[in-house]
Amino acid sequence: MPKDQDISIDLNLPAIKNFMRVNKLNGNGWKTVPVSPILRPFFTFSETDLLPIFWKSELLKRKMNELAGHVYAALGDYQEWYKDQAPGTLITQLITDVGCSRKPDKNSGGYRRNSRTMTLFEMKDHINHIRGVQFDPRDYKGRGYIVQSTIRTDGFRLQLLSWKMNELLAVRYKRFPENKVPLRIASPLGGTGDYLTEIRNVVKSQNDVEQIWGCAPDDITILGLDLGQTFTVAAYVLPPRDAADKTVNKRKVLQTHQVEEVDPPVEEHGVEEERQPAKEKHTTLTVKQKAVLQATFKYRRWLQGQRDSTPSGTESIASIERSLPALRGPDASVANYEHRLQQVGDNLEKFYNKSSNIIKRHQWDSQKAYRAEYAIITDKLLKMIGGSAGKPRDESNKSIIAVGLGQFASKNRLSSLHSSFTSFFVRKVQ
Amino acid sequence: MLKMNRWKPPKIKAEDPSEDKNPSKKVPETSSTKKPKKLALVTSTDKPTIIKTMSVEHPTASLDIGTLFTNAKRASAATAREVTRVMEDVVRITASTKKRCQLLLGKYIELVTASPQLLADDKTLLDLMCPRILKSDLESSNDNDQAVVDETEESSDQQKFYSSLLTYLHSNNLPQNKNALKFVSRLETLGLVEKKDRGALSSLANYPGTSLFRVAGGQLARELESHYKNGAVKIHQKVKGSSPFFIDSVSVADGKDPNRDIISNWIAHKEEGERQGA
Repeated sequence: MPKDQDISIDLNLPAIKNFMRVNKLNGNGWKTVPVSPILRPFFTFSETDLLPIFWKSELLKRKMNELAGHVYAALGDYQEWYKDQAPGTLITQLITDVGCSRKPDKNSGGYRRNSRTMTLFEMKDHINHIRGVQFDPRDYKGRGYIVQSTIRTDGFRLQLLSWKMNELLAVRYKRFPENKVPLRIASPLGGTGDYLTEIRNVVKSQNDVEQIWGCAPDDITILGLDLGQTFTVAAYVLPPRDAADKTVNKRKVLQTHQVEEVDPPVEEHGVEEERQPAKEKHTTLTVKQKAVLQATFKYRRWLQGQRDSTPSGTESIASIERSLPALRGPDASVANYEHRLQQVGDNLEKFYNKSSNIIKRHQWDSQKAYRAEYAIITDKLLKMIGGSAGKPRDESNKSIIAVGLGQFASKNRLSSLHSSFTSFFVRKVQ
Repeated sequence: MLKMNRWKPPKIKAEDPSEDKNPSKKVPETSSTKKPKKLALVTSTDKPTIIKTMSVEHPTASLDIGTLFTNAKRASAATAREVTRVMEDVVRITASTKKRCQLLLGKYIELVTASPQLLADDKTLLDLMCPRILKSDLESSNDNDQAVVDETEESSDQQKFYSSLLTYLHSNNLPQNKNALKFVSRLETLGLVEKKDRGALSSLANYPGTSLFRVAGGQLARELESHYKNGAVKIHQKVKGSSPFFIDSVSVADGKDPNRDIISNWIAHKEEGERQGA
């Protein structure tokens, strides 16, 4: 490539032309065109889309008319009737019972108990209540989920979109006067995304602490978290001063220990609690990335095994995939790729999208295990400060969780888990 | 590789107006930026309006509720099998059509961008496929990921174009959308799709394409925009900035020879890094 290669972007040319040019300079590092994987991804459908689709099936059409309590012959009339129904009516009657109030399931917690549908009139009142002059966000007590009229599915699993009632976007986007809004740091009303703020911008003096939490700074337990790549989380608890020694010097000692103890050996499960029986009690916890990823590794090994296997005389999926021409790099050619895909597409399709959904089942299992790992870590972290997942915090037990916000780039082959864990943890804890 | 975290001074907000040196200047500024926006009350119970306003007030959560069949069975045992069959069918059709569409677009892009000059027609079509890069996109550095995606139900021209194109690929009927029709005739000229007789009887596909591909079209439009538009900006910044593949006046200073070709420079850069690492 000559030195004086023009790398500028010409704003008078289409974005695609610019992309193709700069991509070439970058060694064709990006694909010419994004191509979906053969394993079917999730697609979104709203009820407006589902009505005409379900109408094509005689059985579903009958069921839909049953739902309306009237036999509509034409789809247009049915859609006219449906226009005034609560969002999610069709979904909660035909596709899932989540959000359907006719069968309250007392044994199951979480979304199953906490979601419901809401009629259009209720929604209108709800919105007008929030937007009214009298409304004070500090008194807002909304909970649970309201079913939207949209689902996502990959043909095997199902996801239901819903509105989260315990958060107000008006608080997040500051549509209320500042004196009416509860403080972000002490209330989840403004949203529980992974966006965190630096504490020094909120708390500047001892008085601030007393105002926000209603207690002296010394009575607060602080859990410090350090996130990283090899060790996804390293945590240390700074207990309230009553529990520790009352001198200032002692606290300094504790802080230096925090730095030293970040790296203790980790037992096989990856979660370890180390307590020193001495006078100074330190509670630390470290979690290794390798431990958290075991479930994912197991799935990858299994999938690799499946791809490598060669049932009597046929070519293995791995070698078929290797034979597909590149979509990126100097030899990238979509035309060649498509040509080869036409020859082998059926085999790949059969392997990835078997009717038994075996790959999706394994993938799902590994995702569940991965989430469970996160849940265990969260629970252990909360136990360190005297709480537990799913249990409301004791009023007397004041605690702050401090999360290291340092950003870093990771160049390892395994993606670092720190950011995904942060978002999981922050959502769960708030 | 760790990037050093740089200390930033805390943001200081003047709590007490008397501390402000220029209160007269400050006041209009805060009132224009911080003035809480009061949203209007809703008067109608029109479904799309209500749904849209609810999304303005509450965030959306995606509940992972298990498998399609189990859920359908819980809802109604009599129709569970049928619902699952239909949904599986719909996902299969959408997935395969989208993939065909992606490959078709890829082939077209490959063909027309190979030559240095673009025809005026192709230029219009490429602009339809992905909006142009704006000056503001280049100026805002790495924050492109943070751009808020407008998830409203209103369909943009792009979405209509892609939905129409997907419908055409699925049903093999010529698209109604003018832009999509233009694109299809161009593809026919290039020999990328079979030429279709304009007067031929239209075939009826099993499911209506507008329902199948309304959201998928929007999804495809967003994917392609982030790939081409944001991708071009990202690569541009990478090539221009830190990459050792690109030689500019700054990298010459760290011992790279501008007279050598890029690969040798890159190898030299790598060896340098290894020496330092050791």
